[in-house]
Amino acid sequence: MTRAILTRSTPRFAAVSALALACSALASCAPSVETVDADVSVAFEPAPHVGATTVRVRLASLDGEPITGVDVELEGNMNHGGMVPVFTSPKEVEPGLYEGPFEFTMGGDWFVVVRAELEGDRAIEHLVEFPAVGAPGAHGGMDHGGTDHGEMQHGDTEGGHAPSDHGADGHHQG
Amino acid sequence: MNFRDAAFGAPGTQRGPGGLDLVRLPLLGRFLRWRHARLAVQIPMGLLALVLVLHGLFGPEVAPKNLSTLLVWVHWRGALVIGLLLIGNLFCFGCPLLLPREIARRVARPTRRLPRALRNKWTGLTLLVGVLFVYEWLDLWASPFATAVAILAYFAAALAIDAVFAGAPFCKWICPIGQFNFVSSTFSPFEVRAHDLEVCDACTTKDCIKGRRSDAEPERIDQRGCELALFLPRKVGNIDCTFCLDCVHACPTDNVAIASRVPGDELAVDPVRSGIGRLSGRTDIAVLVVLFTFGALLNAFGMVAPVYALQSWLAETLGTRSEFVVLGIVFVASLVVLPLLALGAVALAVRATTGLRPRAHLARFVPVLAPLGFGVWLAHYCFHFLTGLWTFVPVAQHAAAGTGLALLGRPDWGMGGLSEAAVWPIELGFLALGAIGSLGVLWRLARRDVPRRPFGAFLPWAALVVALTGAALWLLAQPMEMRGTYL
Repeated sequence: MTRAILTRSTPRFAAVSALALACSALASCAPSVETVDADVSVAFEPAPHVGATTVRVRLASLDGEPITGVDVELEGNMNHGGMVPVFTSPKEVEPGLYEGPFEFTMGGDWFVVVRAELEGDRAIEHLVEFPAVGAPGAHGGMDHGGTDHGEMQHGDTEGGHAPSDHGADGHHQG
Repeated sequence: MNFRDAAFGAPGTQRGPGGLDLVRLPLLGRFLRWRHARLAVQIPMGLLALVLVLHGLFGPEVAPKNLSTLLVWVHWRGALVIGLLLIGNLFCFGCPLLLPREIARRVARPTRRLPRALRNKWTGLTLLVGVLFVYEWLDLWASPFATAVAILAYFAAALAIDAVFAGAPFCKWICPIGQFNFVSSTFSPFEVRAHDLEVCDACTTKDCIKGRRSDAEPERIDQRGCELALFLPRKVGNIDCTFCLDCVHACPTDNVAIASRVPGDELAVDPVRSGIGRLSGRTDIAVLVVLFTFGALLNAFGMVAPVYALQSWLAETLGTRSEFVVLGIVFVASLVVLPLLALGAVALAVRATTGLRPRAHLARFVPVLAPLGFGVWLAHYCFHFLTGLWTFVPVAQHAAAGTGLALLGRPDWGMGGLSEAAVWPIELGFLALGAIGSLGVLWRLARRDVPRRPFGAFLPWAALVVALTGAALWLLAQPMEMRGTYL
């Protein structure tokens, strides 16, 4: 009898254990690097459109001091799966201003993630949306402004949507 | 009348042995005849669904980096239609949604039947339109959380319905994916059918529908028969067949085949079908085919730039920023007004040339649109599937790394898929396949039903098929511009 109960229970126990393990593993994926707030703005020249552009990222501390001499990476992606993200590493052209080439490979809703590694295992990571990127010269019915998300993961310290910035760039003061 | 005589009333179907039979292939056949074959596919699919739900709820919030949105909206949809094109209703075969109900039925077996008023396709087709609407309205492709919730809701609905009502009412009448698959699979190259109808003539137990009973306890059913009420000797085509293989396992004489056939063949005949009746008498199935076909165009329309111009114009004209209202208008126009106008014009033209009454001939001829509709879905979904073919690799690597298990290595974000230029001819081929399929079925039907004036029936319908094909071609030629935030 005991043997029979064990035999029937084992798969159930294994399934529950696997579920618990998976949940805890996924829920515990905390970043090892501390993410810090900063004043981040992203702008494209010309305005976002399908094709090549130049991206300018301005980084400053919350008290307005330019953040200089850091490695900046910018990742562009769309709001749906199934495409290859676009990466670029803007170079510093003046204190706190980083510039590099960027190509929007498809029309639609885009977002860019700005990452910068700071000293002491700290980093900046900000997500800025650029919706309705269309063909060159086309207007998708709304401003090509950035809408700042501030962060990418559930459970991080920063949260939610910040107010949209419908200017020519995406800007966030964390 | 024996089953063979009955089958002769349905030329093009139930022709007995001949062609390729998957059940009789060396290795695959052995697997398919294995009683737990379906479960062996459902369990991995169920585990995959669990991963998708967990990643959707707890993983990255951005869609392109979440397995939930990526695998559901890019890979699963593509694999679904490719499976339907190459073999048949493979997703229903491996559907994990039925796993919870199988567990529930070990506790309590329902005896009540779904109310008669719901035993038709109206609920399923309404839900199909609902799913298409919600997909656009809530931008499901862009929300891992919403996608995970949708998966959970699907599981809950399947469990709730099949735990209360006997048989497989969720699959047969409720499931919108199932209804999509049933219509699509009319153009699939394989169908489950009797291997030899003479063997069925001699059968006295009808295990394929009643189930095989235990020798020791005759009250107990060891292997259930078809839960979708498809009596194999009178089963015609793939509509309502989930490829569950219960009939394969129940038949005591191993007389069930998964046999090759001419795709679309079943649409050119109108015998009494087991569990369905005559297609020409099923208004609900005719409406389902119309929604399936026009819905294919609408779904493709939703990802190109002109739809945003239309929606912006509508919003401005109506003075609203409600996406629900604007989308509702687009849906009603595309799935109600446009089909009514198009089919009305065709019916009047056919009436003028052949004298056929519109209502009777519409129900008979509307199913010819199914191959074209499938061709459009195929072209659309394969565009996403093929252009994003390998994108699941870095996302899976990223997900694994997120759990602290870097077994899959560093994410290689450069992995994509075929170029749009390479996929374009494939899209054209799928669209042409659907259009040719519809025209072929249409010609057979016109010759059979209107032998004196086949062109009178053929030409108006062919004009509609060509017009819809042209519209699909125009849509597919547009650069993709998927958005969800215009309002």
